[in-house]
Amino acid sequence: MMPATVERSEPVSDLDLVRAAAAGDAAAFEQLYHLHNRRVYSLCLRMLSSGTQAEDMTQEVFLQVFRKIGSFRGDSAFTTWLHRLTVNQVLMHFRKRGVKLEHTSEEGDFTNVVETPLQSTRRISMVDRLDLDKAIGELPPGYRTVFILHDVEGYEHEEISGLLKVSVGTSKSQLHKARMRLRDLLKSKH
Amino acid sequence: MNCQECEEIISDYVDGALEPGAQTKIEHHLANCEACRAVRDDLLQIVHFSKQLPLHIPTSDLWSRIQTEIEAEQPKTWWARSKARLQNLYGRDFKFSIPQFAAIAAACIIVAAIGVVVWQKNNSQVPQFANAAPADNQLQTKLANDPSFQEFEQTIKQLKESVEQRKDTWGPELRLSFERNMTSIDQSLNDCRQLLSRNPNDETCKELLKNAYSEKVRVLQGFANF
Repeated sequence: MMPATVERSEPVSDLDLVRAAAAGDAAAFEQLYHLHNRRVYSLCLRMLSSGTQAEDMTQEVFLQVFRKIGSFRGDSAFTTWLHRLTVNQVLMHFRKRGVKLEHTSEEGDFTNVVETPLQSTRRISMVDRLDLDKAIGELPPGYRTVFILHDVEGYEHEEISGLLKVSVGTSKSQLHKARMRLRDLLKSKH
Repeated sequence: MNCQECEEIISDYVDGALEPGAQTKIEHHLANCEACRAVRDDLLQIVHFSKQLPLHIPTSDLWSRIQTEIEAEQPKTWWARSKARLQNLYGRDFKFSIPQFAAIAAACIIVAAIGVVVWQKNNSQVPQFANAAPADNQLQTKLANDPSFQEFEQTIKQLKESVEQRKDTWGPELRLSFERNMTSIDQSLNDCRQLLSRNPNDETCKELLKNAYSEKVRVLQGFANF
């Protein structure tokens, strides 16, 4: 069993919890899990498009957090550190399984992208938001990865370039294709 | 600018990443092209709502699974548990070098050896130790005049100063570990001194005392580096 827990009556910061968990406080680690599991799981689910795989990946992420929590220095927010760890775990999973980005030329292949436009007056409602979430899961893995990293998680192309070992141009091209594919998918649902 | 050229840069436009010249051109095109305006509007909405996607919730037994895995990973041995706690505490891959490990092993042997010798002497030579107290004073004088022990004392004094400076950065666990180590080694030193005071010419006792001093120096060096 992990060491004894500490009673808490007031909210504590992530950093306090991390320090307590690093010192062996099981309750602190559990609290970190409950605070962040949905975000980690959601990211895994979107990138993997499988609930089972996403749970397995979330489990692996938190085991990594448990193993590495002592190395968290607090230079960045814990959420940033956790997020990066999650992305790296998923990308490692992709590499092991040989998942690659969809092929595009370095400059990006933008032919045949002029689509019949959605009705410009149509707004994406709450229901459409769920449709969007679902449509993301239907993207090819390469497009999906870049789209999630950039548009959902807020990474810059330079960061994605480093993470995926591709050029910035490729990252931009994949993102554009992902957006246009999503537009098609959403259009087909209406 | 035609529609295809517009499409090539429309994502950068939506992201606000275009140079001013290109931005002016695409805006001019968008003002005159309903189809491309529709694409822009759709992409803006996709980008906007992508940042507001709902969070998903894993099944409730996931934490139990993680907890089980963690408990299965918990090191079983005292040594591994201590090492793991130190790793967690100091946030680095804490490894004892072979000399450090050898020193710890040697310390354990010395403590055990001292215990055996003390036990043997106490049980077999009690009459000989009847005048131990006066011999203590003689021993202190003798040790104070022995260059090798003087050197140990000097080194230990310097190391203690270094340790004192480092102590402020230590957590409670490291402080406790240090105090325990020092108590144990000082106990060994005292045992050795007692033996030597009873047997001032016993070379084995002298060797044990020197080894105990060496161990104290090594342990202090280790803590001075934290």
